Amino acid sequence: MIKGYAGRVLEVDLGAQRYSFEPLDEQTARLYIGGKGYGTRLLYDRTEAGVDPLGPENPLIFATGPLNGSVAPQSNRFAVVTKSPLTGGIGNATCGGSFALGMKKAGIDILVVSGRSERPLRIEVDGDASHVEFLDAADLWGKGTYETQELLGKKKNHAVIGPAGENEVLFAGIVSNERIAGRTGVGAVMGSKKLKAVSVWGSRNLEMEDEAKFKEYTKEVRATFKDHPVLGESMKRFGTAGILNTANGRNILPTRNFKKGRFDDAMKISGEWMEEHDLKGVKTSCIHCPVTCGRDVEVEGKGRVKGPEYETLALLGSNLEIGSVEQISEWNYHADDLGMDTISLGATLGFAMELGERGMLDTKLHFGDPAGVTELIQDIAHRRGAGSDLADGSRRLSEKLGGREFAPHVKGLELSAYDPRGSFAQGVEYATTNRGGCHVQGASMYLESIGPLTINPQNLKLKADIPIVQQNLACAINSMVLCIFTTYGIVPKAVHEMDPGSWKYRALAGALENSGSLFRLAQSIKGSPMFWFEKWLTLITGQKFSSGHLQEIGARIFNLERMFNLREGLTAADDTLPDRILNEPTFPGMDSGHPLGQLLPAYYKKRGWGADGVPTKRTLEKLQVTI
Amino acid sequence: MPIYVEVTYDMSKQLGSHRLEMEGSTVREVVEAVRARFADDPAMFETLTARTAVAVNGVLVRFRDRQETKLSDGDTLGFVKAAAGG
Ligand code: SF4
Repeated sequence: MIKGYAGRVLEVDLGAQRYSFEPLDEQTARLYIGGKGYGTRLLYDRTEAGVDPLGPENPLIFATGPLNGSVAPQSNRFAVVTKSPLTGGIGNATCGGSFALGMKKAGIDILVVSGRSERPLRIEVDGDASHVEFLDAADLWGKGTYETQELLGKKKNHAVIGPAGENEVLFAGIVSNERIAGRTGVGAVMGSKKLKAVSVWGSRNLEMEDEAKFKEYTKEVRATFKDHPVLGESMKRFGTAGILNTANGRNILPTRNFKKGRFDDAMKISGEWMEEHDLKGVKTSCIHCPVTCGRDVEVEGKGRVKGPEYETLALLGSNLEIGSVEQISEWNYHADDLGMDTISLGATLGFAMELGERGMLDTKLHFGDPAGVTELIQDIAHRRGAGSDLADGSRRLSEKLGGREFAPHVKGLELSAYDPRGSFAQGVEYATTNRGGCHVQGASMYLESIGPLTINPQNLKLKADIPIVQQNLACAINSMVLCIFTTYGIVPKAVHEMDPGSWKYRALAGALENSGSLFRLAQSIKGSPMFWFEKWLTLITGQKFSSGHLQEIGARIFNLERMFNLREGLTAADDTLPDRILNEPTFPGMDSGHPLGQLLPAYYKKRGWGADGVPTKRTLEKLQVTI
Repeated sequence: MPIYVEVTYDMSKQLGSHRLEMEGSTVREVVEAVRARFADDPAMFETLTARTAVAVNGVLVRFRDRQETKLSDGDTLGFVKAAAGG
């Protein structure tokens, strides 16, 4: 077995209450690494077109990669892959917490859960004894994710759902510790299987090709991170919320259901504000991660709890015109405990508010007014009354009540917190990303509106190239499985320290913006490892990884996801953005919205797809994507 | 109508507000007016604006006419930091 892998896939059939340990397929691991890549390959091979996402035939795949179980910073994450009940296409999400470490300690790379139980069930996996116990979970059913994990005990590593997953809320997530695999409704799939929790433990250690060098090199990387302006400074001080004022200043902070990109009270929900007014005690981190981007805040009646991330502050804050960290923290706490994705939740609430404002939905909700939201969040999770309609997400709500042109989703997945009208590459990424309107499948905005070295985000230069490189890289990162924030370290400290007004800075940004085809060419070189994640992979597995290798593997995963979506009936027509984003300007002097129509043909061509958005036979062969 | 100026959090601590109203027809004039508010400690202005860019209505002025970018009544001039999060 290749080093870095435990070498085992655990297959669990909930209906028959049977399990088996199977060998990991080395060839698949070489082609897809692990995590999201390996999981997507399994999903594609094991499902028929049209599989019911909430039916027993849809497998729920928990997948780790070769970096998991090591002490590399940002490396304790697992991926969940399944068919999404929210989008009808590929579903996946990644999560921190302790579950990934638990799986690797148990000697399991991949856990495939299939079938469905008739009654609430939980499973316990003793990796050392290679034994799985099927246990009744009626006593836990209905309980929140925090209480459930408390009752299950701290000695084991858990992945659990809350009431939202149990009630098949289409944007329910799976929780490990206080982190959530939030997007695409993976928690609803777990709920449909009546699986409340998976607990796993073991005592195996990760085998590496060159452990001594790995340890020595990791020390160096930790020192680099410590000294890095983002990973060592701003994320430590402000968490992900450090981005909020920048997004507002660049006019891309979703406000009033994506009607505007600027919120008057943005400062009051920013990372800086939180640091001064709301932060309580120690900041939290994922295992082995020195970045500590988690924030603790106080919620009345609940004590010290996990504070909101940037996405939550934007979607439950500016998007609803709520300028209070205390209020958002309370909703965030409920969403985590109920087991729901705060991005889809906030975007769906914003959509409902606009529907109400236009007289299309009978609701007392109003922008800028928190009244009724706490109760509605509970109603959504329990599918009570109007909450049940919102539990199906903004696309289905718009199909039922109208308002398709301002429903904030792509392929059914609600948009995350970067308005693409001020970030054109991000718009192309939203439109083409296989799981839908999500930013962590590429984070193109980092190179055009948020990061330290940005190009003009509102012309056509590189806007079809950046998403390709970023999506490929994200596919690879999510297959290792690493935290996507590791990519923020790619831009060196020296660039962060440049004055944006200086000629040197302008020259560098100009060179990047005008690099044309060189931009992608430079990434495709299969040379030596350049970045820490490439070197870690090389030292752990003994195989050679470089930027070019990761681009190739990432493109393979991305195209396989694309083929899955096409098999499920999605077409090029689904590669779009909400009408509001395409047609309504948010900047003075802007004639229209995002120029997606001008960029998509170039994107398809550069991807090696036909004008119909279908990967050509040659592209699939070149990437060794078998279908 | 005035020009609205939005400053960074750290600047707002010095100025007492994160949103100011000022007069001026170019970016240069308004930036200088903000600098003048730090007359007691000019170095502080330099420190606080290091690694920040200036945007008008969300568009960085380096994509317009930089310091000579013309302003119209009601425009928002912002001091924007590079950031990363997610
Ligand atoms: S950067 Fe934040 S989210 Fe990523 S691994 Fe570290 S603590 Fe977890």
